[in-house]
Amino acid sequence: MPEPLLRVENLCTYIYLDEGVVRAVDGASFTVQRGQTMALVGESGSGKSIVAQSIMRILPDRARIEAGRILFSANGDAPVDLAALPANGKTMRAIRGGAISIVFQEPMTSLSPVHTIGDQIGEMARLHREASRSAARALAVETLKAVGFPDPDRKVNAYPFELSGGLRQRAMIAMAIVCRPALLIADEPTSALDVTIQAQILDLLLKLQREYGMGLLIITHDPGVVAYAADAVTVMYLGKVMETGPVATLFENPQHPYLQALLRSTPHFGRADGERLQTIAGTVPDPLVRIRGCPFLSRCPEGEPELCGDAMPALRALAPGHEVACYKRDSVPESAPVGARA
Amino acid sequence: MTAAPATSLGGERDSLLVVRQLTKHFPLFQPWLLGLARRQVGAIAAVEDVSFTVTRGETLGLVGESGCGKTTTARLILRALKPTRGEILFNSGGTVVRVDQLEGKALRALRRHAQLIFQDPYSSLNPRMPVGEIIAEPLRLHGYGTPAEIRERVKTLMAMVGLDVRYLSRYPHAFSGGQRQRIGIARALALSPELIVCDEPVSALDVSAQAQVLNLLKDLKAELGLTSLFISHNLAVIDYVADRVAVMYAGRIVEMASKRELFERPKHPYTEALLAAVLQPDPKLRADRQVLGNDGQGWLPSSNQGCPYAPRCRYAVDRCAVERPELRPVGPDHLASCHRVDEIRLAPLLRRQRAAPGGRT
Repeated sequence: MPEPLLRVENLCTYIYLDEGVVRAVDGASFTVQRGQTMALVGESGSGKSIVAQSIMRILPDRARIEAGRILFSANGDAPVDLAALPANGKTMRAIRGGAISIVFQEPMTSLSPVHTIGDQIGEMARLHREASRSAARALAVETLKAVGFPDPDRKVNAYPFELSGGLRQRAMIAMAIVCRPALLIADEPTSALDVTIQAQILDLLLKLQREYGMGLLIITHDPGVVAYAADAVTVMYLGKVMETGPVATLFENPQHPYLQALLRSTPHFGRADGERLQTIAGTVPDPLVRIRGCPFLSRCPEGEPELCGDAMPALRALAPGHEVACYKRDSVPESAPVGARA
Repeated sequence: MTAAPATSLGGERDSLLVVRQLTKHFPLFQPWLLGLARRQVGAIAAVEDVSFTVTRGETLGLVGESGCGKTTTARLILRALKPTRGEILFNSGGTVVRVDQLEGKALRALRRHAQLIFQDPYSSLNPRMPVGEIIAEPLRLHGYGTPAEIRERVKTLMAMVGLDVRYLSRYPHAFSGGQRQRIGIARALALSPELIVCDEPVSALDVSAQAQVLNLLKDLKAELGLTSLFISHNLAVIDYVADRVAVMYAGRIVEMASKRELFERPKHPYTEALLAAVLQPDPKLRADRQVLGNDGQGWLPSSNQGCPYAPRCRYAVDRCAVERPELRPVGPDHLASCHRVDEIRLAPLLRRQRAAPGGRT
């Protein structure tokens, strides 16, 4: 089997606060194949953004990678373990923004307000490609064209405040793709945008992914974004991966009680009048309190304290590529159209 | 409340709120005389000629993108802002009040009957007040009764919104986002208002908390017969709570109809674009979805003659740039403002014939 683009294995990233330790990512594993769109889904506090920051090695000072490997192979060669590299060393600096880049949620706060977007896009090329000033500028114009900027020759001199939210996000994407990364991480790329613009930005990301053959890791809380853009999905809850698999399987035949509940509580169209949304009982537990067993136990309709309370269940394959971490799913339910069992 | 001169509410159904030609212009200033003074150089028309009626017991959804004037409309109705023009009529217990003209004491009295639920449950609760005090505050301000009566009422309210009465003396920081939103709802309901304005009440919440709060609002509507104006940019949320929907664009209502009619027979191109942009949690719809050429340039609320949506509209013709379409009846209880209503066929919301996602129930 060819080496996948990104393999995250048992990643543990903890945040050290005055109040205690938050195990923000606690043993997460998933794989992004070349040219694939993987969605990392979870509610706030699930650790999905910390996973992205761990891959990019841009964690806040209080956070540290405690264990696990982040194996990245840009061209199919022997992978590099990003978790073992010094965060500001030469190799990591070359990878960050070069082979892996990231698009953030809020384009207004993640772009510099005092530089033109042309300078900001060009800076990437100058840093990573050692492009000359004029070559960097030409590349900036070309990239703006690629992300669908109207009038790129003139807009290259615009400052972020002169642009609408959608255009700012396009500029942000241009910055991320100018060095043709092998992996693009998009952390809630559409959450701050209006509905009509959201779909356009997702379409743009998917188009660029096809053209450049990039791997795309979309981090989102929105099941609608997942259904629209992803090939595969990894569902996180309180720092742990609960289920991972192809998008159609996870939406049509979700196995983990958390994912089942999450999908049923999402507002969607075409429900009968008077039909209620199903809710997940309770709230997410305090992240400062360490949970030994399954973190969803306190809210799980099927959970049994004796079975689920002692240790986190391991991810088990139900079918190739479809894995779930739940003691109650040790055997495949009869209704599930699953071909093979591991 | 002071009764206004006998202004009729139009007679039709039992209207609680009637808004007519509501307009709000925010003046635009520029520094003048070396920055020692400023002068007005223009105005931003945040809300322009907005008219609608909310019938007692119904939920009117107000949708549109950021900057379209939905929040300004809400703030005008509650008189957090003074309208530039237009009428706001509120029918409180048989007495019709001109909300747009209220001042001082009479305005404060209105607040007993019309309340707001805010979007952000973090910044809308005083962090230094225990929950019991937060909910009791409106009761005290409006002279609800003795301290004992107020305490009883607070407990009833907490039970009503599903908060544990034992948490009465806790501070907001000890609650999750969904629980905080319940506190905000309890505070808004304290004086049994006739109208509740909900400004994106679930946008800041996670999916699971969102479902709990939406269910709560729906239950309260059934139990208390609440009338509400519900602002959201999320059409799936609107579908869940609203009876009728008004679509706003660039400060104006461009279409208004019952939600079923609007989703199945949209008559305004902007509504069509909104429906097409909805990302539904169903991967099977992906192939059928068609992205509408909506250039994402945003609108410029400048040109005062043509249709405000014309620069982005894929159906626009010459006429649209020079003549503003009126909001007019285009079907049963269905208003739209588009010159080409009869010529164009717009796509409804994508649907798939099948049960809810989420697999086995």
